[in-house]
Amino acid sequence: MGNNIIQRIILLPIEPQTKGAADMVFNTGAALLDAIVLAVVTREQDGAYGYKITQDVRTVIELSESTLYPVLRRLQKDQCLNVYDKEYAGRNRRYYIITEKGQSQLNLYKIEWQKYSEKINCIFTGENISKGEHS
Amino acid sequence: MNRNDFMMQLEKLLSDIPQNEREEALKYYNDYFNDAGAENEQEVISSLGTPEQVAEKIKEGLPNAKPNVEFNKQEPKDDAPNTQNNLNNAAQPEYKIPVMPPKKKLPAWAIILIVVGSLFVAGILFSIVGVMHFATKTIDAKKHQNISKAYTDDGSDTGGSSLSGSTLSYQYDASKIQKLDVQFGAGAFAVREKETDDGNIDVIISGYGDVTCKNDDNEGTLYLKAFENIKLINLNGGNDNVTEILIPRDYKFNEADFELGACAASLTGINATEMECDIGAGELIMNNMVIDGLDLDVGAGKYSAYNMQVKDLDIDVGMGEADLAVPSPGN
Repeated sequence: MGNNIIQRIILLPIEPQTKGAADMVFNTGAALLDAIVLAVVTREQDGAYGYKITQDVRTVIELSESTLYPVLRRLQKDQCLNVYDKEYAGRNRRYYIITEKGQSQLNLYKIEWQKYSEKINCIFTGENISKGEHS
Repeated sequence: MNRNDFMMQLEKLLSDIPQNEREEALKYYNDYFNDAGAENEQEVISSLGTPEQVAEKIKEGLPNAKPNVEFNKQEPKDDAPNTQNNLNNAAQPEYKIPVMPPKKKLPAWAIILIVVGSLFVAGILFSIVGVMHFATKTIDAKKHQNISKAYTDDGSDTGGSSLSGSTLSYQYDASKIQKLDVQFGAGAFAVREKETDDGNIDVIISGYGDVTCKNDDNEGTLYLKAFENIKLINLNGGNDNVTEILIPRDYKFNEADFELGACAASLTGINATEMECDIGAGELIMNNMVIDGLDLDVGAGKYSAYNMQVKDLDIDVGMGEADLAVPSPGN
Protein backbone atom coordinates (compact mmCIF):
# COMPACT_ATOMS: atom_id res chain seq x y z
CA MET A 1 0.00 0.00 0.00
CA GLY A 2 2.84 2.31 0.91
CA ASN A 3 4.41 1.56 -2.42
CA ASN A 4 1.24 2.46 -4.18
CA ILE A 5 1.21 5.97 -2.75
CA ILE A 6 4.83 6.46 -3.63
CA GLN A 7 4.09 5.45 -7.16
CA ARG A 8 1.41 8.07 -7.17
CA ILE A 9 3.45 10.96 -5.89
CA ILE A 10 6.31 10.56 -8.30
CA LEU A 11 5.45 13.19 -10.82
CA LEU A 12 6.63 12.05 -14.18
CA PRO A 13 8.31 14.65 -16.36
CA ILE A 14 6.46 15.52 -19.52
CA GLU A 15 7.51 12.94 -22.05
CA PRO A 16 7.21 13.77 -25.70
CA GLN A 17 4.06 12.08 -26.97
CA THR A 18 5.17 12.10 -30.54
CA LYS A 19 8.36 13.00 -32.26
CA GLY A 20 7.58 16.41 -33.69
CA ALA A 21 4.13 17.44 -32.55
CA ALA A 22 1.49 16.60 -35.06
CA ASP A 23 -0.92 19.20 -36.37
CA MET A 24 -2.41 20.88 -33.37
CA VAL A 25 -6.13 21.08 -32.96
CA PHE A 26 -5.97 23.16 -29.78
CA ASN A 27 -4.16 26.44 -29.40
CA THR A 28 -1.73 26.98 -26.59
CA GLY A 29 -2.32 30.04 -24.41
CA ALA A 30 0.49 32.18 -23.06
CA ALA A 31 0.26 30.74 -19.53
CA LEU A 32 0.42 27.16 -20.77
CA LEU A 33 3.43 27.99 -22.94
CA ASP A 34 5.17 29.52 -19.90
CA ALA A 35 4.40 26.39 -17.93
CA ILE A 36 5.75 24.09 -20.64
CA VAL A 37 8.93 26.14 -21.00
CA LEU A 38 9.53 26.15 -17.24
CA ALA A 39 8.93 22.41 -17.07
CA VAL A 40 11.30 21.75 -19.98
CA VAL A 41 14.03 23.90 -18.41
CA THR A 42 13.62 22.06 -15.09
CA ARG A 43 14.28 18.71 -16.73
CA GLU A 44 17.97 19.55 -17.09
CA GLN A 45 19.65 19.90 -13.74
CA ASP A 46 22.18 22.45 -14.95
CA GLY A 47 19.68 24.30 -17.10
CA ALA A 48 19.06 24.08 -20.81
CA TYR A 49 20.12 26.12 -23.83
CA GLY A 50 17.83 27.86 -26.30
CA TYR A 51 18.03 25.39 -29.15
CA LYS A 52 17.41 22.41 -26.88
CA ILE A 53 14.48 24.12 -25.17
CA THR A 54 12.93 24.93 -28.53
CA GLN A 55 13.31 21.37 -29.80
CA ASP A 56 11.90 19.93 -26.57
CA VAL A 57 8.91 22.26 -26.56
CA ARG A 58 8.32 21.45 -30.21
CA THR A 59 7.91 17.78 -29.41
CA VAL A 60 4.72 18.58 -27.52
CA ILE A 61 3.32 21.68 -29.15
CA GLU A 62 3.61 23.18 -32.55
CA LEU A 63 5.34 26.53 -32.60
CA SER A 64 7.62 28.53 -34.81
CA GLU A 65 11.29 28.46 -33.88
CA SER A 66 11.32 32.20 -33.25
CA THR A 67 8.47 32.18 -30.72
CA LEU A 68 10.49 31.11 -27.74
CA TYR A 69 13.06 33.87 -27.48
CA PRO A 70 10.58 36.53 -26.26
CA VAL A 71 9.09 34.00 -23.85
CA LEU A 72 12.49 33.10 -22.39
CA ARG A 73 13.44 36.78 -22.18
CA ARG A 74 10.24 37.64 -20.35
CA LEU A 75 10.58 34.73 -17.91
CA GLN A 76 14.10 35.94 -17.28
CA LYS A 77 12.89 39.49 -16.57
CA ASP A 78 10.17 38.10 -14.31
CA GLN A 79 12.94 36.33 -12.39
CA CYS A 80 11.52 32.92 -13.17
CA LEU A 81 14.68 32.02 -15.11
CA ASN A 82 18.33 32.93 -14.72
CA VAL A 83 20.92 32.76 -17.45
CA TYR A 84 24.57 31.86 -17.36
CA ASP A 85 27.21 31.09 -19.96
CA LYS A 86 29.14 27.87 -20.00
CA GLU A 87 31.92 26.81 -22.29
CA TYR A 88 30.92 24.28 -24.89
CA ALA A 89 32.92 23.26 -27.97
CA GLY A 90 35.20 26.28 -27.69
CA ARG A 91 32.46 28.86 -27.32
CA ASN A 92 30.23 30.19 -24.60
CA ARG A 93 26.78 28.75 -24.73
CA ARG A 94 23.96 30.47 -22.85
CA TYR A 95 21.99 28.32 -20.43
CA TYR A 96 18.63 29.01 -18.85
CA ILE A 97 18.05 27.71 -15.34
CA ILE A 98 14.95 27.89 -13.19
CA THR A 99 14.90 30.13 -10.11
CA GLU A 100 13.03 29.50 -6.89
CA LYS A 101 10.35 31.90 -8.03
CA GLY A 102 10.11 30.06 -11.33
CA GLN A 103 9.80 26.81 -9.46
CA SER A 104 6.89 28.06 -7.37
CA GLN A 105 5.25 29.48 -10.48
CA LEU A 106 5.65 26.11 -12.18
CA ASN A 107 4.16 24.36 -9.15
CA LEU A 108 1.16 26.64 -9.35
CA TYR A 109 0.78 25.96 -13.06
CA LYS A 110 0.90 22.23 -12.41
CA ILE A 111 -1.85 22.44 -9.80
CA GLU A 112 -4.00 24.62 -12.02
CA TRP A 113 -3.39 22.40 -15.02
CA GLN A 114 -4.42 19.35 -13.09
CA LYS A 115 -7.64 20.97 -11.91
CA TYR A 116 -8.35 22.24 -15.40
CA SER A 117 -7.67 18.98 -17.20
CA GLU A 118 -9.67 16.99 -14.66
CA LYS A 119 -12.66 19.22 -15.22
CA ILE A 120 -12.37 18.90 -18.97
CA ASN A 121 -12.02 15.14 -18.66
CA CYS A 122 -15.13 15.02 -16.49
CA ILE A 123 -17.08 16.87 -19.13
CA PHE A 124 -15.78 14.58 -21.85
CA THR A 125 -16.48 11.37 -19.98
CA GLY A 126 -19.77 12.66 -18.53
CA GLU A 127 -18.83 12.08 -14.90
CA ASN A 128 -19.95 14.37 -12.09
CA ILE A 129 -20.36 17.42 -14.24
CA SER A 130 -22.40 19.22 -11.63
CA LYS A 131 -23.52 17.78 -8.36
CA GLY A 132 -26.87 19.57 -8.39
CA GLU A 133 -28.02 18.29 -11.75
CA HIS A 134 -28.35 14.59 -11.20
CA SER A 135 -31.77 13.23 -11.93
CA MET B 1 20.27 33.72 -47.58
CA ASN B 2 22.89 32.24 -45.30
CA ARG B 3 23.44 32.54 -41.59
CA ASN B 4 25.67 35.60 -41.82
CA ASP B 5 23.19 37.50 -43.99
CA PHE B 6 20.44 36.59 -41.58
CA MET B 7 22.35 37.75 -38.52
CA MET B 8 23.51 40.96 -40.16
CA GLN B 9 19.99 41.87 -41.23
CA LEU B 10 18.65 41.04 -37.81
CA GLU B 11 21.26 43.25 -36.15
CA LYS B 12 20.34 46.11 -38.47
CA LEU B 13 16.64 45.66 -37.77
CA LEU B 14 17.28 45.71 -34.05
CA SER B 15 19.30 48.92 -34.15
CA ASP B 16 16.43 50.87 -32.55
CA ILE B 17 16.17 48.79 -29.37
CA PRO B 18 18.38 49.16 -26.25
CA GLN B 19 21.86 47.78 -26.67
CA ASN B 20 21.56 45.13 -23.97
CA GLU B 21 18.34 43.80 -25.52
CA ARG B 22 19.98 43.68 -28.93
CA GLU B 23 23.05 41.87 -27.62
CA GLU B 24 20.91 39.38 -25.71
CA ALA B 25 18.80 38.56 -28.78
CA LEU B 26 21.79 38.30 -31.12
CA LYS B 27 23.58 36.07 -28.64
CA TYR B 28 20.51 33.83 -28.50
CA TYR B 29 20.22 33.45 -32.26
CA ASN B 30 23.96 33.05 -32.69
CA ASP B 31 23.89 30.21 -30.14
CA TYR B 32 20.84 28.85 -31.89
CA PHE B 33 22.65 28.53 -35.21
CA ASN B 34 25.70 27.03 -33.52
CA ASP B 35 23.63 24.44 -31.70
CA ALA B 36 21.56 23.57 -34.75
CA GLY B 37 24.79 22.82 -36.61
CA ALA B 38 25.98 24.02 -40.00
CA GLU B 39 24.16 21.16 -41.74
CA ASN B 40 20.80 22.48 -40.54
CA GLU B 41 21.51 26.11 -41.33
CA GLN B 42 19.05 26.43 -44.21
CA GLU B 43 16.37 24.53 -42.36
CA VAL B 44 16.71 26.82 -39.34
CA ILE B 45 16.56 29.95 -41.50
CA SER B 46 13.39 28.82 -43.23
CA SER B 47 11.81 27.77 -39.95
CA LEU B 48 12.71 30.99 -38.11
CA GLY B 49 11.04 33.14 -40.73
CA THR B 50 12.48 36.29 -42.26
CA PRO B 51 14.79 38.51 -40.19
CA GLU B 52 11.95 41.07 -40.25
CA GLN B 53 9.54 38.61 -38.62
CA VAL B 54 12.11 37.54 -36.05
CA ALA B 55 12.94 41.18 -35.23
CA GLU B 56 9.27 41.99 -34.86
CA LYS B 57 8.78 39.14 -32.39
CA ILE B 58 11.76 40.29 -30.37
CA LYS B 59 10.38 43.83 -30.23
CA GLU B 60 6.91 42.61 -29.27
CA GLY B 61 8.43 41.06 -26.19
CA LEU B 62 9.99 44.31 -25.02
CA PRO B 63 8.23 46.20 -22.21
CA ASN B 64 7.44 49.34 -24.20
CA ALA B 65 6.41 47.54 -27.32
CA LYS B 66 4.48 49.62 -29.81
CA PRO B 67 0.73 49.48 -29.24
CA ASN B 68 -0.08 48.33 -32.78
CA VAL B 69 1.47 45.01 -31.99
CA GLU B 70 -0.88 42.11 -31.35
CA PHE B 71 0.74 40.64 -28.34
CA ASN B 72 -1.02 38.20 -26.09
CA LYS B 73 -4.30 39.05 -27.68
CA GLN B 74 -7.18 36.68 -28.06
CA GLU B 75 -7.92 35.22 -31.45
CA PRO B 76 -10.26 37.53 -33.32
CA LYS B 77 -13.73 36.12 -33.05
CA ASP B 78 -15.10 37.81 -36.15
CA ASP B 79 -17.24 34.91 -37.29
CA ALA B 80 -18.66 34.09 -33.91
CA PRO B 81 -21.82 32.28 -35.14
CA ASN B 82 -19.63 29.82 -37.04
CA THR B 83 -17.47 28.81 -34.10
CA GLN B 84 -19.14 25.40 -34.16
CA ASN B 85 -17.37 24.78 -37.42
CA ASN B 86 -14.12 26.17 -36.21
CA LEU B 87 -12.69 23.79 -33.70
CA ASN B 88 -9.70 26.03 -33.07
CA ASN B 89 -11.78 28.89 -31.85
CA ALA B 90 -14.43 26.82 -30.15
CA ALA B 91 -12.08 24.80 -28.05
CA GLN B 92 -9.31 27.28 -27.50
CA PRO B 93 -8.36 27.19 -23.86
CA GLU B 94 -7.58 30.88 -23.41
CA TYR B 95 -6.52 29.98 -19.97
CA LYS B 96 -5.29 32.58 -17.56
CA ILE B 97 -3.68 31.33 -14.42
CA PRO B 98 -4.20 33.52 -11.39
CA VAL B 99 -1.33 34.15 -9.03
CA MET B 100 -3.52 33.02 -6.17
CA PRO B 101 -6.17 30.33 -6.55
CA PRO B 102 -9.55 31.99 -7.15
CA LYS B 103 -11.92 32.27 -4.25
CA LYS B 104 -15.49 31.13 -4.50
CA LYS B 105 -18.18 33.73 -4.17
CA LEU B 106 -19.69 33.91 -0.72
CA PRO B 107 -23.25 34.75 0.26
CA ALA B 108 -23.89 38.17 1.85
CA TRP B 109 -24.35 36.86 5.39
CA ALA B 110 -20.97 35.14 5.24
CA ILE B 111 -19.29 38.35 4.09
CA ILE B 112 -20.83 40.30 6.99
CA LEU B 113 -19.75 37.57 9.39
CA ILE B 114 -16.23 37.65 7.97
CA VAL B 115 -16.03 41.45 8.15
CA VAL B 116 -17.21 41.53 11.77
CA GLY B 117 -14.93 38.59 12.58
CA SER B 118 -11.93 40.21 10.91
CA LEU B 119 -12.45 43.46 12.80
CA PHE B 120 -12.52 41.52 16.03
CA VAL B 121 -9.42 39.50 15.13
CA ALA B 122 -7.67 42.63 13.83
CA GLY B 123 -8.28 44.29 17.19
CA ILE B 124 -6.68 41.42 19.04
CA LEU B 125 -3.80 41.23 16.58
CA PHE B 126 -3.11 44.93 16.86
CA SER B 127 -2.89 44.62 20.61
CA ILE B 128 -0.47 41.72 20.27
CA VAL B 129 1.56 43.54 17.64
CA GLY B 130 1.64 46.61 19.84
CA VAL B 131 2.97 44.64 22.78
CA MET B 132 5.53 42.78 20.69
CA HIS B 133 6.60 45.91 18.90
CA PHE B 134 7.10 47.58 22.25
CA ALA B 135 9.14 44.59 23.40
CA THR B 136 11.28 44.75 20.27
CA LYS B 137 11.83 48.44 20.80
CA THR B 138 12.96 47.74 24.35
CA ILE B 139 15.46 45.21 23.11
CA ASP B 140 16.64 47.70 20.51
CA ALA B 141 17.08 50.37 23.12
CA LYS B 142 19.09 48.02 25.32
CA LYS B 143 21.32 46.84 22.54
CA HIS B 144 21.61 50.03 20.60
CA GLN B 145 23.24 48.27 17.72
CA ASN B 146 22.16 46.29 14.78
CA ILE B 147 23.08 42.65 14.75
CA SER B 148 24.51 41.89 11.38
CA LYS B 149 27.32 39.42 11.44
CA ALA B 150 28.59 36.67 9.25
CA TYR B 151 29.72 33.70 11.27
CA THR B 152 32.13 31.20 9.93
CA ASP B 153 31.44 28.24 12.04
CA ASP B 154 34.16 26.37 13.87
CA GLY B 155 31.80 24.32 15.98
CA SER B 156 32.03 26.53 19.01
CA ASP B 157 29.62 29.23 18.01
CA THR B 158 26.18 28.92 19.48
CA GLY B 159 24.74 31.71 17.38
CA GLY B 160 21.72 32.50 19.54
CA SER B 161 20.27 35.89 18.82
CA SER B 162 17.39 38.19 19.29
CA LEU B 163 16.73 39.68 15.91
CA SER B 164 15.43 43.16 15.42
CA GLY B 165 15.00 43.76 11.77
CA SER B 166 18.50 42.73 10.84
CA THR B 167 19.96 39.92 8.81
CA LEU B 168 22.11 37.15 10.18
CA SER B 169 24.00 34.78 8.01
CA TYR B 170 25.84 31.66 9.08
CA GLN B 171 28.02 29.36 7.09
CA TYR B 172 28.80 25.76 7.96
CA ASP B 173 31.08 23.22 6.37
CA ALA B 174 28.65 20.72 4.83
CA SER B 175 31.02 17.79 5.23
CA LYS B 176 30.66 18.12 9.03
CA ILE B 177 26.88 18.05 9.00
CA GLN B 178 24.81 14.94 8.58
CA LYS B 179 21.61 16.02 10.24
CA LEU B 180 19.25 18.96 10.03
CA ASP B 181 17.01 19.80 12.94
CA VAL B 182 14.67 22.70 12.36
CA GLN B 183 11.97 24.12 14.58
CA PHE B 184 10.31 27.04 12.99
CA GLY B 185 7.50 28.99 14.58
CA ALA B 186 5.89 31.49 12.28
CA GLY B 187 7.06 33.26 9.17
CA ALA B 188 8.46 32.21 5.84
CA PHE B 189 10.95 29.39 5.70
CA ALA B 190 12.74 27.83 2.75
CA VAL B 191 15.33 25.18 2.07
CA ARG B 192 16.82 25.22 -1.38
CA GLU B 193 19.83 24.19 -3.36
CA LYS B 194 22.60 26.67 -3.94
CA GLU B 195 23.15 28.00 -7.37
CA THR B 196 26.89 27.84 -6.97
CA ASP B 197 28.24 25.04 -4.89
CA ASP B 198 31.01 25.89 -2.40
CA GLY B 199 30.63 22.90 -0.11
CA ASN B 200 29.00 24.97 2.61
CA ILE B 201 25.58 25.11 4.11
CA ASP B 202 24.40 28.70 4.50
CA VAL B 203 21.69 29.85 6.86
CA ILE B 204 20.26 33.30 6.24
CA ILE B 205 17.83 34.75 8.73
CA SER B 206 16.17 38.10 8.52
CA GLY B 207 13.41 39.85 10.38
CA TYR B 208 12.36 39.93 14.00
CA GLY B 209 12.25 37.29 16.67
CA ASP B 210 14.39 34.85 18.60
CA VAL B 211 16.62 32.67 16.56
CA THR B 212 19.12 30.01 17.50
CA CYS B 213 21.35 28.47 14.93
CA LYS B 214 24.16 26.18 15.97
CA ASN B 215 26.20 23.25 14.89
CA ASP B 216 27.14 20.54 17.35
CA ASP B 217 30.23 18.98 15.88
CA ASN B 218 30.06 15.83 17.96
CA GLU B 219 26.64 14.96 16.60
CA GLY B 220 27.09 16.55 13.20
CA THR B 221 23.76 18.26 13.63
CA LEU B 222 22.75 21.69 12.46
CA TYR B 223 20.05 23.13 14.70
CA LEU B 224 17.85 25.99 13.69
CA LYS B 225 15.22 27.17 16.11
CA ALA B 226 13.29 30.27 15.21
CA PHE B 227 10.19 31.68 16.82
CA GLU B 228 8.07 34.71 16.23
CA ASN B 229 9.71 35.39 12.92
CA ILE B 230 6.53 37.18 11.94
CA LYS B 231 6.04 39.64 9.14
CA LEU B 232 3.43 41.56 11.12
CA ILE B 233 6.01 42.67 13.62
CA ASN B 234 8.05 44.20 10.87
CA LEU B 235 6.28 47.55 11.08
CA ASN B 236 9.33 49.59 10.25
CA GLY B 237 9.96 47.92 6.91
CA GLY B 238 13.45 46.58 6.56
CA ASN B 239 14.24 43.05 5.60
CA ASP B 240 11.73 40.48 4.57
CA ASN B 241 11.18 37.94 7.27
CA VAL B 242 12.49 34.98 5.41
CA THR B 243 14.70 32.31 6.85
CA GLU B 244 16.57 30.26 4.33
CA ILE B 245 18.85 27.27 4.48
CA LEU B 246 20.96 26.91 1.36
CA ILE B 247 22.32 23.44 0.82
CA PRO B 248 24.85 22.16 -1.71
CA ARG B 249 23.43 20.38 -4.74
CA ASP B 250 23.01 16.60 -4.35
CA TYR B 251 24.09 16.73 -0.73
CA LYS B 252 22.69 13.81 1.22
CA PHE B 253 21.68 14.17 4.87
CA ASN B 254 21.32 11.19 7.15
CA GLU B 255 18.39 12.78 8.80
CA ALA B 256 16.29 15.91 8.38
CA ASP B 257 13.69 16.91 10.96
CA PHE B 258 11.32 19.80 10.50
CA GLU B 259 8.81 21.04 13.01
CA LEU B 260 6.93 23.86 11.37
CA GLY B 261 4.31 26.02 13.04
CA ALA B 262 2.18 28.60 11.33
CA CYS B 263 4.68 29.28 8.61
CA ALA B 264 4.82 29.16 4.86
CA ALA B 265 7.58 26.72 4.05
CA SER B 266 9.09 25.59 0.80
CA LEU B 267 11.49 22.66 0.86
CA THR B 268 13.38 22.02 -2.36
CA GLY B 269 16.10 19.63 -3.35
CA ILE B 270 16.55 17.87 -0.03
CA ASN B 271 18.17 14.48 -0.27
CA ALA B 272 17.98 12.45 2.96
CA THR B 273 17.85 8.93 4.31
CA GLU B 274 15.25 9.80 6.93
CA MET B 275 13.01 12.79 7.05
CA GLU B 276 10.39 13.76 9.57
CA CYS B 277 8.18 16.71 8.98
CA ASP B 278 5.40 18.13 11.17
CA ILE B 279 3.42 21.02 9.88
CA GLY B 280 0.92 22.81 12.10
CA ALA B 281 -1.30 25.49 10.66
CA GLY B 282 0.99 26.54 7.88
CA GLU B 283 1.55 25.75 4.28
CA LEU B 284 4.25 23.42 3.03
CA ILE B 285 5.43 22.83 -0.51
CA MET B 286 7.97 20.11 -1.26
CA ASN B 287 9.71 19.78 -4.54
CA ASN B 288 12.51 17.68 -6.04
CA MET B 289 13.15 15.66 -2.93
CA VAL B 290 14.85 12.30 -2.70
CA ILE B 291 13.95 10.68 0.63
CA ASP B 292 14.23 7.04 1.65
CA GLY B 293 11.85 7.25 4.60
CA LEU B 294 9.47 10.18 4.88
CA ASP B 295 7.22 10.68 7.89
CA LEU B 296 4.74 13.49 7.40
CA ASP B 297 2.27 14.92 9.84
CA VAL B 298 -0.01 17.63 8.53
CA GLY B 299 -2.21 19.35 11.13
CA ALA B 300 -4.56 22.08 10.00
CA GLY B 301 -2.11 22.98 7.30
CA LYS B 302 -1.83 22.60 3.61
CA TYR B 303 0.71 20.35 2.03
CA SER B 304 1.70 19.90 -1.60
CA ALA B 305 4.47 17.85 -3.15
CA TYR B 306 5.99 17.49 -6.58
CA ASN B 307 8.84 15.57 -8.13
CA MET B 308 9.19 13.39 -5.08
CA GLN B 309 11.15 10.19 -4.93
CA VAL B 310 10.20 8.48 -1.71
CA LYS B 311 10.76 4.82 -0.91
CA ASP B 312 8.69 4.66 2.24
CA LEU B 313 5.99 7.15 3.08
CA ASP B 314 3.99 7.58 6.25
CA ILE B 315 1.54 10.41 6.09
CA ASP B 316 -1.03 11.69 8.61
CA VAL B 317 -3.39 14.45 7.65
CA GLY B 318 -5.58 16.07 10.32
CA MET B 319 -7.86 18.90 9.31
CA GLY B 320 -5.42 19.84 6.62
CA GLU B 321 -5.18 19.40 2.94
CA ALA B 322 -2.59 17.31 1.16
CA ASP B 323 -2.12 17.80 -2.51
CA LEU B 324 0.16 15.24 -4.06
CA ALA B 325 0.64 15.56 -7.76
CA VAL B 326 -0.83 12.42 -9.29
CA PRO B 327 0.15 11.35 -12.78
CA SER B 328 -2.48 9.96 -15.11
CA PRO B 329 -3.78 6.45 -14.23
CA GLY B 330 -1.66 3.63 -15.45
CA ASN B 331 1.58 4.92 -14.07
